[in-house]
Amino acid sequence: MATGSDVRDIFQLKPASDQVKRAPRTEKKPDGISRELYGLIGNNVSTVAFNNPAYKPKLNLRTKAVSWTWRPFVNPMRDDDMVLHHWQKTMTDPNEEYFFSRYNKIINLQEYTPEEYTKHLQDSDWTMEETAYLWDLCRRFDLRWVLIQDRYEWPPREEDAMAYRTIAGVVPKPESSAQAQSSLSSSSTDAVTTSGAAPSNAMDTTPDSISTQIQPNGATSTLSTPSTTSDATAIASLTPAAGATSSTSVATTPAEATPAPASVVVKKEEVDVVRKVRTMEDLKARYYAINRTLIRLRMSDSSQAVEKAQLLSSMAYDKNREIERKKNLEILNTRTPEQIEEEEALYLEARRIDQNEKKITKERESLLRLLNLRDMYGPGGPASAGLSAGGSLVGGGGSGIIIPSNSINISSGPSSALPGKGSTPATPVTPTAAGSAAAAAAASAGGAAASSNAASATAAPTAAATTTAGSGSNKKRKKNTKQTEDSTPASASSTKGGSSSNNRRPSNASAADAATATGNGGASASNAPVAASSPSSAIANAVPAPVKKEKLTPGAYLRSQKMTPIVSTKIARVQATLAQLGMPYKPNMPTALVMAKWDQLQTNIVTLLDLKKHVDKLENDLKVNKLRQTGGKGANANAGAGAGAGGAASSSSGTAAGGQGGNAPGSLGLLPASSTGLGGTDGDLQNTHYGVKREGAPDDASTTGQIKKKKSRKE
Amino acid sequence: MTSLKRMKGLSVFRPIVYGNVASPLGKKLADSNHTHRWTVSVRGVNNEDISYFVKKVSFKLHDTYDNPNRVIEKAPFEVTETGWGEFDIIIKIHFQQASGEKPLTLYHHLKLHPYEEDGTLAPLPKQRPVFSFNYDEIVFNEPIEAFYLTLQEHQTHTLPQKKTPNHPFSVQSEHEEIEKLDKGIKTTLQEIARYRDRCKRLEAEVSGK
Repeated sequence: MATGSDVRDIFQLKPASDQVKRAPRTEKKPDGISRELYGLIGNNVSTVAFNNPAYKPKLNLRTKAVSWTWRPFVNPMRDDDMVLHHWQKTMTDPNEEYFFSRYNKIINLQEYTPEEYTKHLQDSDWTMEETAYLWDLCRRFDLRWVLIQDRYEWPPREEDAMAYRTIAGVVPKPESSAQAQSSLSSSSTDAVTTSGAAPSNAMDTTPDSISTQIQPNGATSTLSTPSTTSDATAIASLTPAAGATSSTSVATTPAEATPAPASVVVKKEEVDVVRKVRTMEDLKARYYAINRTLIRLRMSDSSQAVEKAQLLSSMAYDKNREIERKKNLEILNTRTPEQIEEEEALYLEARRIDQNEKKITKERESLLRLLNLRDMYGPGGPASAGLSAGGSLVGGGGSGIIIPSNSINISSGPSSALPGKGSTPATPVTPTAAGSAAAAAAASAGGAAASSNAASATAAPTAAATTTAGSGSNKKRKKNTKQTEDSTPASASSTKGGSSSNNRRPSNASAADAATATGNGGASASNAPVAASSPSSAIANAVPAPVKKEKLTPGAYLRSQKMTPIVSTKIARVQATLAQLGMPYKPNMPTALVMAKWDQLQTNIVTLLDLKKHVDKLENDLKVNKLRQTGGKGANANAGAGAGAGGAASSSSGTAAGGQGGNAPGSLGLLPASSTGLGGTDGDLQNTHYGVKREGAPDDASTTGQIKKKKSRKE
Repeated sequence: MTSLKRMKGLSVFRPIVYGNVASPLGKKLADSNHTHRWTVSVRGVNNEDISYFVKKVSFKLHDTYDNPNRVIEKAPFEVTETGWGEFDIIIKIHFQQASGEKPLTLYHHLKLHPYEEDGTLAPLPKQRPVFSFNYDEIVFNEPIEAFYLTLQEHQTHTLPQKKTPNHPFSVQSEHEEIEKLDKGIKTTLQEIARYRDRCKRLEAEVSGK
């Protein structure tokens, strides 16, 4: 049979000698377990030691056994010299003090004399007796407050008193007890008055009532000078013994009541008194308060100042705080598992927020910076043009109607960026549409700012059909909007403008209203979503109102950066005007006064520029009128006249007139109110503001243009 | 955190001056083409300490500088460097913690070369240092109470009455500016009146036809 070594020989391998020897699996069987059991459970020895200790004491025969003796001993901690016996090694000193007595620690309770009490320790809530009772409990239970509070019962129950009586073998005299009862019921809380009121029964001295109770410190409480017997009784009733065992019979031994002429025993009977429920805090507060007072009294030496301060601080006690603490602890402990879970979840969330706070603040900051930039450059900036028309206003008939912001989309195409370009040359005028185009031009000149003119004018041909439909009937609107989707954005927006206003208005008036609405909408490019109804408020919003003094937005800013923003399209022109006036492009000394003046100047310049524009527009109107009068067709002449009238009206009533002008041929007689309703009454100033509003309102131009076109066709 | 109660309706401001002074280097530095030494700073209007409300100022220099974001934690808040070109410095003023305010950002165009002023084309003396400072006021609207008290403790230094060539920010220059502005306002108002007139005439003309 071939062994492993044969195989190795054949393959000419090294002998198996230096192969790793298998580790001996002989884990030693622990003691105290049988081989069989070990074989079964293997190495999984239970953690509990089940083997017996292997210690086997050897018998030592050489040393002699220690001898023990039965000895009597006295526990010095006992005050009654009772002799007990115990086994002790003979070699120990028999006179040695009882070993375990050293463990009987007696607390060092600050004691007070009745004089001290009456002088310094009075408390309206505590009687002298009760204080003494507290002191006694403190001593008995070594300041274990839980115990003290548990046992505290003042005044003591009758059962307890009875129990004590039976134990002590004290039998109170019936008549004295009855008297005591009456006296106590009359003034149970005031010790002095009690004893004073019933001196006769307090004087009852019964020798058998001398208590055998332990009264280690009883002497201190009876230190008072017994000038009068009533005094003595008062004191006697105060002894801690009263609280310690019972208040039924308080005995002061002759020795204890030092100079007292006779030992005074006060017997009191339990009365149904409303028991005061003393909380642990009450007890502690009283205890520490007395201690603090005593420390202050007794350590008046300046040499002890440090020690005194230490002691005082160790005796510090704030009752309310302690109550609060326990209450909080109680709340904490009585949480339900759900509450705990929730709290943990909240904690985690708070941690997460904390950690993300930095990131969030950073993001917020950058956002704020962005917004600030927008403020600085004005809301009409190219990027924000679409946003700026957030809210708009229809002033028709004095009732405010808000048009959704999407109805005004200022086309930001390149054509709209051409400022001051006349609308007429930009419009592709066909012979048939000449009149309408002219009307559109007039209307747009009346309604829209120069910059948007170009867009509206080019948009006019495509938008013509759609807007008319939009203002005409609801059925066609969808179709038309689809159509306009392929057309320029300007026309699309104009359709929207027309239709959205159409939702709110009868179709006939809608064109004019749409014109005014969008005109106003474009005007409220000051970024403030305004829902005011009167035209004057619209004006206030059209030109960004200077920052009001009384409305302070909290925060820090640089005075020079808080300029009233100018519409971005005007910044260049305003600055050019500033330069003409010999002003720097920003104030050198931006003090409050300078900034106010600066704002005023800027507003003036804006007004001036608007006025100039308005004058330009009027001149344009005149020119167009002249053109039309000379070369207009008969059919279009009507529209032209309407446009002219519109232009004239617009000079007095602003944007409204622009729309009105468009409608004029058909509805001049029908809607005279709307032009006045739009509030041309405010005069020139308003005109200029409407001029501002017209900026970026291509809609009204196209709308009115289309209406005119339709009308002129009809005619 | 301490009380965040804001002083309602109160607005406190503290004037500051920020900007730079630059002077040409006598000879070029050995290993660079830097031509000027300049110091950009943020300080009180009379060069007083502003650290009672400013915690730190960070100056963001041109990216070509080593460690371009210079944070100055205590007065004087300034950075001195050498260079050859002008660029915009982003100055960020961080306020004391107690203020609870977010930092303010200002921009200053570092000025190294004197501009020819007043149209006189006479070459300016090359070696004179160039000052380019701006006056501004940091306004604290409704400051937090504690911060307000700190601000009150340090009464603001009043502007000097007269201006000096090196200290143009004064009551005098404020008055001058106000005068100028008043003049501008007057001119614009006149213009407005004129245009209004014209407007009326044109309107009458348009409606007359």
